[in-house]
Amino acid sequence: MNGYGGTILRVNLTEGRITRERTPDAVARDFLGGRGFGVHFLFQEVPKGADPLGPENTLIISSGPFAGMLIPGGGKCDFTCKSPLTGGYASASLGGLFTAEIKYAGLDSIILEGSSPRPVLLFIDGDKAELRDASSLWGKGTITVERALKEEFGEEFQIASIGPGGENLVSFASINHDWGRQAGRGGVGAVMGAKRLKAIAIHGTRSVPVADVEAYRAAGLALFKACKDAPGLKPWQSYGTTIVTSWCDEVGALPTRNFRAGSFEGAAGLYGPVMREKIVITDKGCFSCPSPCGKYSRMRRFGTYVEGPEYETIGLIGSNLGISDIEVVAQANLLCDELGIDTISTGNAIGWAIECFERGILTLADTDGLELRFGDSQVVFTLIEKIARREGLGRLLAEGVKRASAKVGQGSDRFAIHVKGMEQSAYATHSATAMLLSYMTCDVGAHHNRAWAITYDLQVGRDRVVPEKVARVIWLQNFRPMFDVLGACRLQWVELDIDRELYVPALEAITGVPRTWKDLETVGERIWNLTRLFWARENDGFGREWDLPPPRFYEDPPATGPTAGQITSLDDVQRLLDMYYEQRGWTPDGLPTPQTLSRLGLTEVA
Amino acid sequence: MSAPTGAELRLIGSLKTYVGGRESVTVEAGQTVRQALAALGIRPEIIALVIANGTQQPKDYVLKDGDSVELLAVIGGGSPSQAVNRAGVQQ
Repeated sequence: MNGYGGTILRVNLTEGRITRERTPDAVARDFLGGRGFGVHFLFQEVPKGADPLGPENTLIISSGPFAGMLIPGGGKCDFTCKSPLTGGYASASLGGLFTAEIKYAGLDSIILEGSSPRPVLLFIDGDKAELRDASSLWGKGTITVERALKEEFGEEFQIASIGPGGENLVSFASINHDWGRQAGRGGVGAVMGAKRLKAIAIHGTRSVPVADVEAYRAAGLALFKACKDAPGLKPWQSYGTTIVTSWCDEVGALPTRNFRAGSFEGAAGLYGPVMREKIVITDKGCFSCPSPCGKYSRMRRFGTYVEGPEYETIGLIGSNLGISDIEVVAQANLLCDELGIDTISTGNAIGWAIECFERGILTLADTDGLELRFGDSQVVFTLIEKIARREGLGRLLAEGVKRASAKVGQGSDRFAIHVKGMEQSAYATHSATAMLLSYMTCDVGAHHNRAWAITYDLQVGRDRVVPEKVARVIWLQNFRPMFDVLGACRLQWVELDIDRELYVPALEAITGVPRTWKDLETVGERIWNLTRLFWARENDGFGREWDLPPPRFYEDPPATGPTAGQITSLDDVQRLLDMYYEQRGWTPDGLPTPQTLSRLGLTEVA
Repeated sequence: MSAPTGAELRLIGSLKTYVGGRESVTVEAGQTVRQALAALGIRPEIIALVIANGTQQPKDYVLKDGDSVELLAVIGGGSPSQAVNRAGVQQ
């Protein structure tokens, strides 16, 4: 099959058995790869009602037709499972160099099922795949493990591993790779930990069959040329995602003190140029990247190094916790990476805990005597450790803010910032209705990457509730995730503004199958609807209520900043959902109609 | 040689659409970046970054003769006109 490895590797960790099967042609046709393969196999293989941390959950790691190829940023890998954080669909995207090795090992997906009785390592070297004892690595941090395994197997092996967070089943544990890249969201690391799979080491040596080599080369080079010629390349490469820190602060989108406001009086210490001057030592790219936006930083005060911090971490660990020192944020980032927990959910959980303490809902008796205050770096460092090790207050916070607030009660759910159980990423949405809708309806919970619609809010009027905004969100939700499906980075399109039509001839040359973006958006829509069916299948009573945003955005107007006094009323929230469901072809309770499923070829699944 | 008159604004990415596809436009000195943007019909809040002569500046920076100022918009996925048209609706 052109453009594919051609094989699915199935690893049963309960029995220690590894088998191979051919990648089904129909799955490649209808779901293409990556996130599409993930949700297809998830829906097929995970039984209804499966315990996310039980052996019946599967973790599906998928490459895509652009992965490992001459495509800008062709290094995206998808991790899909039933989420221990939300009880619904989880899909986390990983950059770096991992997915290329999956492809070169002749694989499209690795399906991890069951649960090992002891810690193991999945070792894949070309056509050889085996489980090895990993008892000596258990308890160790991810960067430590990566270093050890590269020393043992060689630099050419790529490593993905979990840290203590994953071992201790923290609901938002991450999987780490390439010294600081993560499949971060939804608790994929906890699922790996529940399977007692400490790490995967992979190196492949096969070539990838391509339909038309000359056309592939020409299309790939055209894409690289467009990136190289993009006027935005230099600033993007200089600052990466931190380019938006100052902007978010200026427009009231920077999460501040548990999202109570959208701008932070100490934000200037966190801005991209300040970070570059103070701590960045070099740029770092993923596989085949012409615009390396990763930043590698040195924290002199701590004598440490980290990849990052990215904007999301700056927003959640910085301003959201009242921290204005970029070096402290970077050090907290390093702790989260080594311990293997998601910085976005971690920043939210700590912010929620501090607000609980301020309101007297949590007391010194609950915090092991620790006074929780915004702006205190020791509080941040201590709670990160406690969460990852599930010690003291960390046991509560490791559940995520939805379950933690349900346990604590006393109205603390009103300021638990999540949708469907996933903590919100770093855009305050008191007054940005498209971005708010994007979070409300995102298929994994409150994550930004499916539809980064906040720029559109600013362009057309941030508080407007109009069908055009809803259409924009839906278009982004169908289209943007296709990069995760194809196995390439979206940022060359998002940030460098290259013409997306350039990807079309590349895909055709690689796979031999002609497709248009309209076709691809239909695949995206099929995947979106299938994820919705998965939520409904796994959660009794799933529907409209689940799409409501955190009350903070319709109840608590910020006291300061450009969005002072502004919220989105609950009436407007409901109007957004009415329009969204209608445009999606869903019922008024937010479920796909039979006609919509039929149009997308999903009738049999439903 | 006389000193250059006006400040050059370099419009990166989708911002070009505001000035008829040109990559740069010369504006009068003595006004702020914010005022210059407004005169060009660009909403200041869609600008992520103002880099004047290689240094980041706020939008209230007062332009001087001979300044070279790069302006980067938050794009977030394609230029607005392209995206909206594909969604099948008018902006």
